[in-house]
This record gives sequence, structure tokens and C-alpha cells, in this order.
Amino acid sequence: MPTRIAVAAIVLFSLLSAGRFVFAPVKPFRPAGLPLPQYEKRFEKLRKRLPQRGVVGYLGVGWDSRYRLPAYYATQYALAPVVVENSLEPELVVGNFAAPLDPTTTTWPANLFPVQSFGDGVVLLAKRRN
Amino acid sequence: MAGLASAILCAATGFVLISLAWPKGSGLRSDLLLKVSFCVGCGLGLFSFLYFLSLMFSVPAKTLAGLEVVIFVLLSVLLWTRNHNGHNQSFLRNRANTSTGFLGQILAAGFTLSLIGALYRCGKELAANPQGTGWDAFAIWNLHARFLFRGGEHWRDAFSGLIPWFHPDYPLLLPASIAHFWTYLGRETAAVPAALAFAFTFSTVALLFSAVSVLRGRNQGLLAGVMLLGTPSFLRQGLSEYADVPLSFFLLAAIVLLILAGRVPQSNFSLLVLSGFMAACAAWTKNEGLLFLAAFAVARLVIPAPWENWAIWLRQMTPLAATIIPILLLIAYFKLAVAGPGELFSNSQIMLQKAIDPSRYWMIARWFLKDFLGFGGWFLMPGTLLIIAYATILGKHGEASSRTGAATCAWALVLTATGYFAVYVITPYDLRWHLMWSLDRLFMQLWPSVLFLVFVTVRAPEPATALGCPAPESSE
Repeated sequence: MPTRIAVAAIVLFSLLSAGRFVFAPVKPFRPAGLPLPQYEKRFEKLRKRLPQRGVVGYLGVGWDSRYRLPAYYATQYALAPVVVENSLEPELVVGNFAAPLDPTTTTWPANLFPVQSFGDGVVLLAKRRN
Repeated sequence: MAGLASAILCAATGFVLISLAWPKGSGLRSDLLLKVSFCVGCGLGLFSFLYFLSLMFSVPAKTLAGLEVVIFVLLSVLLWTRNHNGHNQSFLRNRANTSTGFLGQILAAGFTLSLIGALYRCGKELAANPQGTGWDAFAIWNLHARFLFRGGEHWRDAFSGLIPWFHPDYPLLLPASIAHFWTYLGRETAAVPAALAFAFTFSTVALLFSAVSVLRGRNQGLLAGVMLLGTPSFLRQGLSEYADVPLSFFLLAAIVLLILAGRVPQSNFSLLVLSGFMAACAAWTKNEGLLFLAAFAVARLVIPAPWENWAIWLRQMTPLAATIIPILLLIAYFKLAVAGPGELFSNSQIMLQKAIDPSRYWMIARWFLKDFLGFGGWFLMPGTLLIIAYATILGKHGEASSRTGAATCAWALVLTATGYFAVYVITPYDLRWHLMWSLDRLFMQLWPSVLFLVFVTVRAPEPATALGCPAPESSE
């Protein structure tokens, strides 16, 4: 009898756990507030404009604190094999704005100037040479 | 089409390799499900090593593909010449392997229901999130794969120290496997990591079910399978495209093969060699796998009590070492010459300070206890308590032939868990944060192997009579 109870308990509780998991809603994964493929699309044109390899900087602006770091990693994911360094030191810097840019109100860091805007808040910046 | 052909080639090479290691005289179709459940992992392990070597020596993709076909053909010819007189006789199988009576029907129904549910959920999840469901999937594993594939001759850029939290020292089995299939396809697709996640998850389930069935009867195998499928976190982790479930597969495979090796004549070392290969694949999957490999080697060196018979001990250790050492050298080359430094062992003085802080031990112990009851995401009743209750009620199986193997495997797992504990003690990260984000996954890595060991060492719910083995101590 105890054997049967033990077997029944394993089957019953395992099925209950499995059932709860199977019927739980599937959540789309949105690391930076957007599904990853959609996020990557924003960088498609920029990727073609960047060199085949090398290091670029990163400037993330306007991201909610919970998305700030994931947005950086998702940008690196989109732009690989170019290494995206989370700093403004490299010659080229990827600007990643949470909202589309308004050219009349956008201000850039003093040592950078915009090279090209790719829409959707993605812009390529370069170091200003004195 | 190229993707399907490469997947078939990989699995088929794994199958041929497994079949070559199977005891002589057994036919290709003997223990078929067990062999099939090994083959994906085995093929992927082999192909990822070959892919890494091809990167190291700048071998063109077409040459690599040709080389893999040649390896497959050579192994197949070897298998054919060895097996053409073989019968479909299993040297491993327990006689009580058929599910009989009401109990068998209930268990089969429960297993089928869980399996269908899991397949349905996995299909839905992977369709919604083909690029994984977690941070590590895109920020580490699939990103490493992209660097390898997109980087061409500059693939070493993947190990840049400029990307924080990128873990350049993480081993390459998963990224290399993904990049390898992309190379075959000639393009990137999220379907590849998704398919690998699916393959590893269900290979682990199939391996657990088939190995326990072969060793302890089908009912026991079904129970083990139901238990694993009824662990929601296992399926969730598997679909997340993290490396924890692939690692759990290789741990289980190494342990299963070690137990099976104890069932064949002592002159046959092929299963032992394959067990070493799987343990080495674990080390090539995640850094925790390196810890397991060390624990596995120590347990294997000490448990069989070498001082009782040095000659046999040496005969067994030589082929095992001959498999593990070359792979370890490759991993060492990767760690020392290619990957950046790891983050865990960076400052010995701080590590020492942490090691003598008792509050850290207490905190880790409390987290271990808490997660022991909750890591599986079970509903109502923790699976760990269920399994303890089940083992207590049914009692130990008295088969002497598997005792040394089971003790070796149990010690390997205990040593691995102890190693996890020690790493938390010296971790450079915030301890609470580190425990919160990783401990459940570490437990999950060990869970299929623990289930296997429990179900092969406790008595089956129905009396089982093993082929060529003593009967259990007592029956129901």
C-alpha cells in the first residue's frame, strides 16, 4: 500500500506541476522593451554602414533604468562582430535613443558630432577632432 | 535542406560512435532508444570540437564538411565490419522491462500526458521566442555564436575583454555548435539555437527514461521520466537557450555510461571511454562542467579502491585518461590562449578574506536549503521531498554489480555540489545577487543525474529480476 501511495503521489504531483506550466501564458521576451528581432531591425542600416570589424563606442539615451543595460547588450547582439564598448572613447560611437530623435532639440556630447541618423533613435556619431 | 542534412550527419555520426562503443555482439537495434538519446549530444560534442579546431587552423567550411562526412563514413564502415554478424541482443537490459498490469498502464498514461504537454508547451514557447527567453541566451551564448560565425578569420574578437559581463572564458560547445550549423546553412537563423534547445531538453528526458528502463525496468523508467517532465523549471531552462540543460545532459550521459560500463565484461572499456568523452563535453559546455569533470575523475580514481587491485584499476584508468586528457588540453588551450581571463579567480587576497568569513557560509547554506525545496518550480509539493519519500518507502535495490558505479557517480555529484558551494564562498560578485540568479540553475544541472541515481538504486514498484544479476533483496 505505501508503495502505491508513493507512486501515485509522484504521478499526481508531477502532472499537476506539468499542467500548470503547460497552460501558463507564453510571454514574449522583450529584453529592452521590444521583442529582440524588432529591436535588431532598428540597427540593420547602421550595421551595413559600420566597418566589418573593430570597436565602436555606445551612447544610450532616454532608456528606462530597467532597460538601460539590456539595451546595450541587445545593441551588441545586433552589431556583432563589431565590438560595442560601453564608453565614448572609440572614434565611432553608436547613439541609441529610446525615442526617435528630434533634430531641433537633440544635443550631443561636446566631443561628438552626428555622422548619420538611421531613424528609430539610432544614430552614428564620431569624435570631434580639434 | 543543407541544415537538415547537417543535422542528420551530426546525429548519425553520434549514433555510429555510440553503437561502436556498445558491447560487441549486440545489434544496431538493441537498446535503440537509449542509443538515440545519446546520439544528438555525442554528435554535437564531436562536431563542436571539430569546428573549433577548424577555426584554430583556418580550415575552410567546405573542407570541414568534407572531413566530417569522411569521419562518418569511416566510423560506419568500422561499425559494419564489427557488427555484421551481430544479433539484436542487449547485454544491458533488465528482463523486467515491459510495463505490465494496471500500474504500468497508469504510468505509461501519465508519462505520455506529460510528454505531450511538454512538447506542446515547447513548440508554443519556441515559436514565440525563437531567440530564447533569457538574458544569457542573447547576451552570452547566441552572441558568442554570432561572433564565431560573423567574425570569419577574426573570430577571436568574440573574446574581447571590452564587453562587460560577456564571459569570454565560457566554453564553446553551444556557441560552436550553433555557428557550425549556420556555416552549413550559409546564413543565420534563430531556428538553430531553438532546435538545439529542443534537442537537448528532450534528449535528456529520453536518456533518463531509457537508461532507467534498461537498468531497472520500464515502470521505474516511466516514473523517472514523469518526475523530470513534472519539473517546470527544467523545461523552462531548456527552452531559455541557456547552457544549463545541455550541461545536465552531458552530466547524465557520463553517469549513465559509467553505470552501464559496470555491466559489461571488465575487458570492454568502450563505454568507459565514452563516459569520459561525455564528461569532457560537459567541461566544454560550461565552467561548472569543468568542476564536474574534476569531481568525476577524483571519484573514479578513488571509489573503485585501487589498492585492492592495481592492475585492473590501471587498465580501466588508461583509456579513460586517454579520452579526457586530449580534450582537456584543447580546453586549456582555449582558456589560456584564446579566451580572456575568468572573473571568478581574480584577486587571491579578497578570495582569502571571503573564505574565512563565516557569515558567507551561513548565507549560502540557507540559500541551498531554500532552493533545494523550490528550484524546480513545482506546484504544491517539492519534487525533492517527493523523491526522498519515494526512496525511503521503496528502499534500496540490492544489486551488487551497480554499487561501485552508483557510489562513484553519487560522489561525483556530491563533490560537484560542494564545489558550487565553495565558488559561492569566494565569488567576486555580490553574494545574494549571485545566489539569487544562479543557484536554481546549478541545482537544475544536477537534477536529471540525481533522478537517475535515485531510480536505479531504489527498488522498482514491481519486483524486478535482472538478467544475469542477483534478484533484489526482497520483493513487494
